[in-house]
Amino acid sequence: MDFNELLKTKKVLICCGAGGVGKTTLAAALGVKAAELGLRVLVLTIDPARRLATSLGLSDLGTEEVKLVEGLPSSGKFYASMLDMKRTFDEFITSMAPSAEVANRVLNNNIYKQISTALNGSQEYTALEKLLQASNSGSYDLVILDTPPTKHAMDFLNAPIKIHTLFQDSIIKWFLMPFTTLDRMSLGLMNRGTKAAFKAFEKVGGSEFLGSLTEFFSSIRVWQKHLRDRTAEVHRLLTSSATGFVLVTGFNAVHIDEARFFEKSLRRGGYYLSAIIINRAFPLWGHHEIVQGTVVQDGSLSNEYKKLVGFYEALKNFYKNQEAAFRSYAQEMRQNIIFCRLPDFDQDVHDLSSLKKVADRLEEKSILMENGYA
Amino acid sequence: MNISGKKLVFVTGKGGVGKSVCAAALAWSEARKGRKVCLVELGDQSFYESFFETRGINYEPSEIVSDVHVALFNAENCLKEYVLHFLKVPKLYDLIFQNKVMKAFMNAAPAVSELSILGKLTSETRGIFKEEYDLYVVDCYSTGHALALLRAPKGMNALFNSGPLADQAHDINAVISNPELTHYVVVTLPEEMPVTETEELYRQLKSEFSAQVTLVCNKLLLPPISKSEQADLLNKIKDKNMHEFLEFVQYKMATQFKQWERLARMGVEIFGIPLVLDTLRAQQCVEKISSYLDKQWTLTNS
Repeated sequence: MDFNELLKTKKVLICCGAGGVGKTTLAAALGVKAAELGLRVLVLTIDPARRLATSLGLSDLGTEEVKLVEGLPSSGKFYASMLDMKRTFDEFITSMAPSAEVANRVLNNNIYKQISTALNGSQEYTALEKLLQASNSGSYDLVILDTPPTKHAMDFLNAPIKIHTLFQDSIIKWFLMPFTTLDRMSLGLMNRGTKAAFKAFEKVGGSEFLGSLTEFFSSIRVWQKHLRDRTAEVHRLLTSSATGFVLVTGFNAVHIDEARFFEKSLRRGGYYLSAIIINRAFPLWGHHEIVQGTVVQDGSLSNEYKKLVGFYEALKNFYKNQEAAFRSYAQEMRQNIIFCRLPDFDQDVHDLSSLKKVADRLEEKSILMENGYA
Repeated sequence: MNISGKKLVFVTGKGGVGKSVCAAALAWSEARKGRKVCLVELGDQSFYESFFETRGINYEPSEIVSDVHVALFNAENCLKEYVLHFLKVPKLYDLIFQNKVMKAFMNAAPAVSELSILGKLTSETRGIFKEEYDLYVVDCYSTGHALALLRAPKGMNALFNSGPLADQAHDINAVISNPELTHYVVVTLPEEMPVTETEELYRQLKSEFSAQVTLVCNKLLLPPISKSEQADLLNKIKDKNMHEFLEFVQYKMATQFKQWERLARMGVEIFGIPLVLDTLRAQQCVEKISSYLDKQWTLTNS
């Protein structure tokens, strides 16, 4: 398996990883590569760095539409889109509401305004909602999703479950109870435990807080079934064999542990891990020399030169030590997973030509772990 | 770094810049000054446990070396301690929070987990719990999530202005917006994207929390020969590898210094930390970095 094969066989690729490892760049580079293979590809990004966004034509904030990225000599088409969370959530509410009036009431509700973007997992949820829409639209051969930054790669997949449980009937009913049964009589019928819990909750949070929550839950009740269906559909898409996960990770021992954990969790959840990319794993200058390169002691052999050689050896050693850890990890991997390393480009990758450089690297055999570069 | 008198330090910055190790180094440095320090990580999984090759890091702080305690705060535990303090009746707590429905709600509800964590971190300063530590050093989330955490009290107050929860939110915000009590450390790398993020984060922390900020520029590459010596050598070297390497060093020095200058223009204190190349055990590594936090180290263009 190599990247060309991966891009041609999958319908959806999801780039996961902790923040700061280069997910967005890799997602865009995979997009460039896919377009070169003649595919119509959409890269959905969450929060691209400004200069990368500009290169992709996404610089004007608030643009929701999909942009065709110009300036790439390829037979396919490279589209990019930036996720607008608030807008996606609003659209979701509007499309689901029984009438425009109900939709407006919710959209203008002060609590909704705070909640639609602050709810834990709402960013992840909206990203998946967009992914589902794009994938269902039939306009693309491949959709690549750049996931929101989370502390751990798995947080992304757990987020929709959190939202889903929030919309569960039992929660909604629990909060609606004292208000749907407003009179004292029925309040008296309330289970004693529940009543005590409510009282205690009120004591901690205040009655205004409890009241507002109840109001919120009563408005979202209508969306419950739809949300459940969508969540199930998203789950089907994510566990489909046409969907592959790409883990982008950084370069140290803690990252390896994280990759291990991620791989295991994916397998347990029934997802397909297609590739692990270790970003910035070696410096460009040492490409083939880290492992076996020797330095010819030439020149004047001055003191400065000796110092420089010492510095070179120290840096080389630094990378070599990490290398050993990755090698043993690569051997654990199943065969159908692409396990590769990319160099530290020493420059921020933000324009199309440097994206193309990264994309070209993905084709090199030397980055693949089983061949190694020794 | 002079943070004497402060009660709370948030260490944040772009993902992957080395926040956790810098936070540990700061805790080390302060502990050696004789303060009783609690190093706090947030979430359910401990980074320090594998980093320091130890076990049993959880909600109750455990002493890693003398006067440095490490704790793992997650929202559920913070909320529990907090709520119990007000309710006084553990049975009632179980009734509300061990309830499956409420648990799910607390997991997803906005601001609840953020407020619980901040509530716990500021509880000694606000006189809710008795003072156990002189200083809490928080290995905080990366930029975006850190801001979401810090903004939670204000967000809560935008929704509710009265009631016990609103009062708590107000008091918490007063602590994290008080530069006499709370300090912010933003860790960055000498690279364009992290520096840009640092500039933006600094502005936001300043305007929203009147924050006093110290910058830490991590992983500086320091060649053993000067700029002029490098230029001199470049013409003499015949070995192709070394020539390529020296060009890389020169390029790196130039870009690194350019980014350092951008940081310097922000007009706040900056501590430079050289990249640790030796294979050190975690504790040695933390001690080495903490020495750079004791004595300010500055990058020059030579």
